[in-house]
Amino acid sequence: MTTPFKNLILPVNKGLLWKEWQQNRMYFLVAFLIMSYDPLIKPLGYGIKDLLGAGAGRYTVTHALGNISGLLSASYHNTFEQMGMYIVILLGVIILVQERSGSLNYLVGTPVSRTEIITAKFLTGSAAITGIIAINALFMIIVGLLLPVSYSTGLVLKWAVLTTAVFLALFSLGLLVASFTGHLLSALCLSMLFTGLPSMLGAMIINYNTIQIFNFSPAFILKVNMIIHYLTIPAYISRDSEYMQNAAAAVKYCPNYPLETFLLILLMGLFVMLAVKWFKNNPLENNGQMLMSGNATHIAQIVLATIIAVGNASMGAESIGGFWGFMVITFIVAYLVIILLSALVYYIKLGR
Amino acid sequence: MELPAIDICKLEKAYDGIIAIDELSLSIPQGSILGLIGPNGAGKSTLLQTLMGILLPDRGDAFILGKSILDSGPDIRQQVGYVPDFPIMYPRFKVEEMFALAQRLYINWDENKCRGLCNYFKIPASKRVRTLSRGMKVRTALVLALSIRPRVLILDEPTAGLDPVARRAFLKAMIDEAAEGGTTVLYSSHNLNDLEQTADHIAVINQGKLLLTCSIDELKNSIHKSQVVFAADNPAEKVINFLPGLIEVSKQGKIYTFTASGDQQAFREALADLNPTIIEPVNLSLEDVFITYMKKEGYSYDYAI
Repeated sequence: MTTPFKNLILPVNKGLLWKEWQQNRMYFLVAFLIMSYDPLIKPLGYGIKDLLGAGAGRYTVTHALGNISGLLSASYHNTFEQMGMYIVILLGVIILVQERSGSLNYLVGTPVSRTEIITAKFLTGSAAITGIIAINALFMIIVGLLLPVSYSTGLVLKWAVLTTAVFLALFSLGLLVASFTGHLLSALCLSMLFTGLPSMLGAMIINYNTIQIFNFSPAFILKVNMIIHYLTIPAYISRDSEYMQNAAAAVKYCPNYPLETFLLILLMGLFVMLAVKWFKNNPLENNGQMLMSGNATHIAQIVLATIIAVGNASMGAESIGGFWGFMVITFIVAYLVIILLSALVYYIKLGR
Repeated sequence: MELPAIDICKLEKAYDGIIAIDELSLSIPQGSILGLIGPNGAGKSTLLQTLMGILLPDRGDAFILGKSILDSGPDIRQQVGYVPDFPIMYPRFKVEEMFALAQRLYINWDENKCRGLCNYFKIPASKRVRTLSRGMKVRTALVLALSIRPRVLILDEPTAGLDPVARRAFLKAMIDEAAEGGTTVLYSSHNLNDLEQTADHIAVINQGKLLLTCSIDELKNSIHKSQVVFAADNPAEKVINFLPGLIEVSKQGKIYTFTASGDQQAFREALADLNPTIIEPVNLSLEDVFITYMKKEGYSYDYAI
């Protein structure tokens, strides 16, 4: 009997899970070390220093635990969240794109389906990211139970759930982009572009209003800002400290954590489904192109240059004349840079 | 009637509009060794990679042991061993880890056979794949392909980077597999001496099209060469050009060399009408036949500097 949800269940191949772990464990370890510097390694190191009587000033465990409180109260400046966002995108991209240098030809020739291949990659990467967050959260909870800290176990758990959802959504985005690109550089550029695009659009709309190309009402701008915030995946982490700007006032944003976590998980599912679909249809030709088909490359180059040009002009221009001038110049520069990068990608690919 | 091991039906594949395989159809009976030959860029690797599911065809289909490569899912490859022209595998893995991976992916993995073949090919199991020479990687790929007890073996120019001793060992392992296990082998190579020794059938492709498929003897009989000396007056060029099936004629001193296709007897009789003093048939290797055949199809290099 077939069910309407049959296609939503991803097939798991244990052999591939083993292979993914063998292949990527060093990347996961490096990710763990970088991301855990502020919340785990620093307090641990300073704690040892304190115990040895060498801790002083900023180099004490008390100071390091203050950083954890900052992390949990959604202040943005720590290695876990700032570096972590880029690291998880990079993991999503690298876990798939690294195979394009030849090993994928071996794997696709074995009795595994492309869906199983990408599912194994998603599951291994997701498990690693969840593991990294879980270890850090566990450390925070244990420290909170042993030492006087200004955060609660509940706050740590809330942080862990939301951060996991954000990181898994970003990881899936990287995996999705890698499923239709053929090269690390192009996959990374596109992933970063997709991650930052909503914020860029938001800034554009606000600036259009400021330079009076449009004349939107403050209420409309506030709504746009809210929508943009829902579309910007990294912004979900810093909800508590966010203020929505409009012409009249700054309005504090009140996050709905269960809803936001649900939305992120939904987004992750969508990204994974699309990644599976596109990877199944990817012809896997080693033709050194940015995207999986020849025409798409040229279209992508023009679209990318246009987005950069419009975005840059919208955010930077102070008048309508300045907007058009800025846009034309930025388009030419962006287009040339993209052409140059594409040629570089092609050269590297052929060189290999 | 027994199903063919591989049945390719009007397969088409293009790269950015450039046709690599053009409505190619080919049937390979079970238990046979078929050599795939053709010039560089003829579409041999594309065809083999498409059969393995590495590349997706634009149109057409192929059936391996009766199952479609498009609709049957990955299980079809449980019985198909594949050795690519440049086996990369997983460069950071140790050879033994490659075997461990294959053991997890193939249900018919034969550990004893793998160990025996490793000893035979002197493969260092504890070395990382990236440190192996190309020849050693090819041998490792063959061990991987043979240890799954395949019913079909697809090899893409596997002996290109091997020294003569390793090449001989490789071919022996391949022939043993075909003879003992009844494995069907589809084998592309530019080394036509190897093919002459191992294959029982040949398929010639050029520009993605199948030009010919026949036994090696049939191919060799399709082209013939004769050296001829005429008594006094050499025959006029016009007369020579009317010889049936003539592909090429060259002259060195008094000796003419005629290369022709088609009925050898009819050609000899036509030559005899020109009153030669000597007609001597020349033995052709498969390579000679292939080069002549491709010249007939318009593929040749004329040295002129």
